[in-house]
Amino acid sequence: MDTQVESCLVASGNTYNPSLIVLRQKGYELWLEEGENGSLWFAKKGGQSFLAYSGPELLGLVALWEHLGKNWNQQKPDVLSELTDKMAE
Amino acid sequence: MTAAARGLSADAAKMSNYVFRGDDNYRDGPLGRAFGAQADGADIQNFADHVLRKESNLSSRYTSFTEEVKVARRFTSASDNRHVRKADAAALRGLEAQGVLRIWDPDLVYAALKKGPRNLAKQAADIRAAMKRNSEILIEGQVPAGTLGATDE
Repeated sequence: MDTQVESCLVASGNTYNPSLIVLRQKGYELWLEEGENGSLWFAKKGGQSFLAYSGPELLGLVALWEHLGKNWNQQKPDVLSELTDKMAE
Repeated sequence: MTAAARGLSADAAKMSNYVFRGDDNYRDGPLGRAFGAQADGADIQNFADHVLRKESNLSSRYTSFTEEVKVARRFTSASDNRHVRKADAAALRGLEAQGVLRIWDPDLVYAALKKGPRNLAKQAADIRAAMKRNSEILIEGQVPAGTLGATDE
């Protein structure tokens, strides 16, 4: 039996507000709009805005933009297919 | 008795055979706060604060479970299920019928919030979505120790 002890942060409800705290500290303007299946979560700084469906997702998009900028839409290597193929059924 | 007769939603009736809770700090004994003074004395008294704002040092009248053991394990520091407990769903429904506890699935939580004050109703959809992502079930009241077992899945 694998007894290695590790830590895991789960995207549960109580990660929403901490994600917003980080985004606000990073200088993003934040707001919510009502959507069909929950709030639409917006962030904006300078000329760039972001739309997501949860706080952690919004923070993830900002991280993507801050890491890759306008070249964010990179599809090679196809990590998604690689992981899908490896996923246990 | 049918689910509807017990006042349960269709989703609650479809609940998996077991619900799971990952908790590094649980050792033994009952889980959660019994209806009455115990539950009423908890720091957190509403669904919104429990699902969206609960810090680990705060107590709540609700206890979170999940229908997926893989999700429960991720709330522990172990890479196996040593800190995951499971509760038999049929036993929980029986306790609910006796008034010992109440089972809240995401749709029941949503419906209850929608009927409440406006500030909580506005959060209902996000709370339901957050719960559904982790297959989360809330138990209000106390789960007796005898209903909880080790998880060997």
